[in-house]
Amino acid sequence: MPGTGQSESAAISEAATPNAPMSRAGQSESPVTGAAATGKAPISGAGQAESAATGAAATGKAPMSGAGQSKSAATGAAATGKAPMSGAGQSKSVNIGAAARGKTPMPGAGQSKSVNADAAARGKAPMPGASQSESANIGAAARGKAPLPRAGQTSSVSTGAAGTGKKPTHGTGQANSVVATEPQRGIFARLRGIDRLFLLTVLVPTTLAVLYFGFIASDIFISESHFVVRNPGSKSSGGLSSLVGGAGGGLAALAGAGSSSSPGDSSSVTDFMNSRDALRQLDKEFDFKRLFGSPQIDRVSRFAGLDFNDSFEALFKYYQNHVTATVDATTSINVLTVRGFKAEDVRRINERLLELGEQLVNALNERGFKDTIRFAEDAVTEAEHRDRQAALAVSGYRHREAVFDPSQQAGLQLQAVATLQGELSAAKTRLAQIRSLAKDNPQIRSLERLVDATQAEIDVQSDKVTGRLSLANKSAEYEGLVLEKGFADKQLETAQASLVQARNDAVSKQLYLVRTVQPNRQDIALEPRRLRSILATLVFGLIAWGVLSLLAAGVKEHQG
Amino acid sequence: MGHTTGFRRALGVQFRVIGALLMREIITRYGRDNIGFLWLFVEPMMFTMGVTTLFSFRHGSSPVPIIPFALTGYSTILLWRNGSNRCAKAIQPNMALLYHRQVTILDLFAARLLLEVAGATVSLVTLLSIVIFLGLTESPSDPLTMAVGWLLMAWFAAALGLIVGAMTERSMAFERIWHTVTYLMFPLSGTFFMVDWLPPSIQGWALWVPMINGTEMIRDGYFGHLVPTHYSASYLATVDLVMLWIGLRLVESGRHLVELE
Repeated sequence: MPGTGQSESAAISEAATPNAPMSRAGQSESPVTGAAATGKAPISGAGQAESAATGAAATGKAPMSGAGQSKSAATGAAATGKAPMSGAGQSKSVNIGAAARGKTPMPGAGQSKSVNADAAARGKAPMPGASQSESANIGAAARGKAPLPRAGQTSSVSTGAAGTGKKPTHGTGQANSVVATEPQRGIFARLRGIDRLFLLTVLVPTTLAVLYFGFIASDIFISESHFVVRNPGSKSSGGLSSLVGGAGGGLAALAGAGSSSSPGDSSSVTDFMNSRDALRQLDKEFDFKRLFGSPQIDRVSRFAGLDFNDSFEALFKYYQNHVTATVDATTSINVLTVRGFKAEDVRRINERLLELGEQLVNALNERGFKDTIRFAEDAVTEAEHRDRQAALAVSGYRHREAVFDPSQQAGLQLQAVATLQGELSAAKTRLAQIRSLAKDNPQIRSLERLVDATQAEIDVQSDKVTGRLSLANKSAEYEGLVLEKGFADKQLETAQASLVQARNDAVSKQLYLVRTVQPNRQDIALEPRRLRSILATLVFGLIAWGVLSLLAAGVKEHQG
Repeated sequence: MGHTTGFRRALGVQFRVIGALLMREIITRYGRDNIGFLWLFVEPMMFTMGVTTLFSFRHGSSPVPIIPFALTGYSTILLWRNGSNRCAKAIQPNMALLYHRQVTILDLFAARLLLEVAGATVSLVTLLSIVIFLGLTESPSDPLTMAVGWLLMAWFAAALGLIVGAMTERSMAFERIWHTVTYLMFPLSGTFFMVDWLPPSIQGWALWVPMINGTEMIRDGYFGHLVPTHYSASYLATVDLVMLWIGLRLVESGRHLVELE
């Protein structure tokens, strides 16, 4: 379904809707057109004008050519091959020939002094030709199975558009009688709109993507390591197993027994790895800033490459994009990923971060250990002190009072008193006996003396036990001191036992950072995924173009 | 440049057409009586207030402030639900207008969508202003994030509206099914939960749902660091873009069906 078109001094193009193939043709007084058609049945279109002519040829299975000529200029276009082909056009004083060969359908474009032709074709349909003039652009685009040519042109020259279809047709154009479903202005805007849009949304981004990903982007190496933070002693892993506990008590108990990994401690390690502290350490040791700001890295990926902001905060942001540490909530396995531009550097950074993580775990352990046993140790110290005080008090008392043990001593005294009491009563008995037998017995006097002396001794002795300064008095204070000493002894004993226990507990709470996967060193870079990124850009561009061109078409319906 | 001015003029015409359709829609729907077009946002406001009140009773001890939680969640639902529902069968009542060359099907949809989005937006802003003024809740911690999330959801609503509008025009069955689907989508939309509350294994799946991403983003903007949120704005934007394209294609390719009648 070929169309050719042009006019005196303005342009026409046409649009064909998918269902109804259409052609339009126009041409102008002075310059030229070419038209081409393809199909199974060979056809040709030719346009001519008063002074200029172009020819265009199209082929099908039967090769054909058309030729056009003019007074002062001539062009010829020939196409060969099995495939349908090309159109050509030219202008005032320039000749262009366009030839296409090959099995595939091809667009042909002709041009003149300063012209661009833009032809885009997609789909199964063989495709269009465009030609144009001094200073004009034409684009012809056809999509789908139904050919849909569009052509436009400007100033004083011409255009040709060609479409194809299975039905052979040909169009020739003639002037002044232009058929257009749409107003001229609309066509202009539409063409321009679409072209520019396509350029902006698809061609430019895709070209940039190809340039960037194809030639500029630096290789990215990734080093990954896995680790778990384990706690060999804990009997239950707390929250997690108690959560599961309801349904699978047995399972939870199983999981809880023996060593378990602790999510809380895991996240403190990953949190550290994602922190400014870790970065500061790395920056100090590896000169992170220079490593990632090296001119060998492409400007887009480089640190401070585009915005020249090399502050620490910017570095931290950059760091966050290149180093990630995450905890898998279900398995509690931590994954540390470092991305960079040299395989060995990346591995070293990963390794170093793991070491820093281990240091952190050790620091946590030390702190936890100290905290746990500190109270027990304090208790022991205090008990020891108290015990010592009590012992000192007792011995000070003994020294001061010159008493070793008042109760025992009082016992001895009482014993002595009892003996004296016995003697006293014996003496008294004898005295009474003698008095009843012989009143003047000289023994009476000495016995009386003995009784008195014994009585006096008993008084003295019992006063020592119970009197004001007696042992009984002293014993109250002494018992207090002894009791205190006993308490202090007990306390010390308990404190020491709990210290031992605390030590055991603390040891069982020690964490270990266990590396399950060592940092790797990639020998080839897997990123950036160049082809994928380019393709993604293209697809996105196409969708954006689809959306925008549909919207633009919607807007343009309001013209006129 | 002739092309640009032509396009600009066309754009101007389209704006005027949509503006006129908008006014027509407002008047035909709400009339000039009692509060008139104020119903536009009073209606969704009442809905939201009702749901918010219910919420406050139910989740007495939620970790998240319940009023803004319900407001952000339910307004988002209203946004896309009303948008798409109003587009269903939108052409029929406006068929006569299509005899004007300047009025296109897309304009009809655009007018209705704009109206719904504007209504939902005004209702959210008004309600938030009221509760903030009353001291029932804090003001949003990051209004910009919230606004971007809201815009992405409005975009989603527009794309969904076009798809639904075009599909209902083609098949009666779709309209019936769509209403059911809307209700089924309610619990999936993230209104009644935060992604963070879900088990980690489900979180990944939940984030495939575009509405959940939008709701989370709006809440992230509102609550800031108060609650952990999970979403991907770029994913939502991608879905929006693809859906808009599909919607536009459907409208475009369906237009001859309408014109033939």
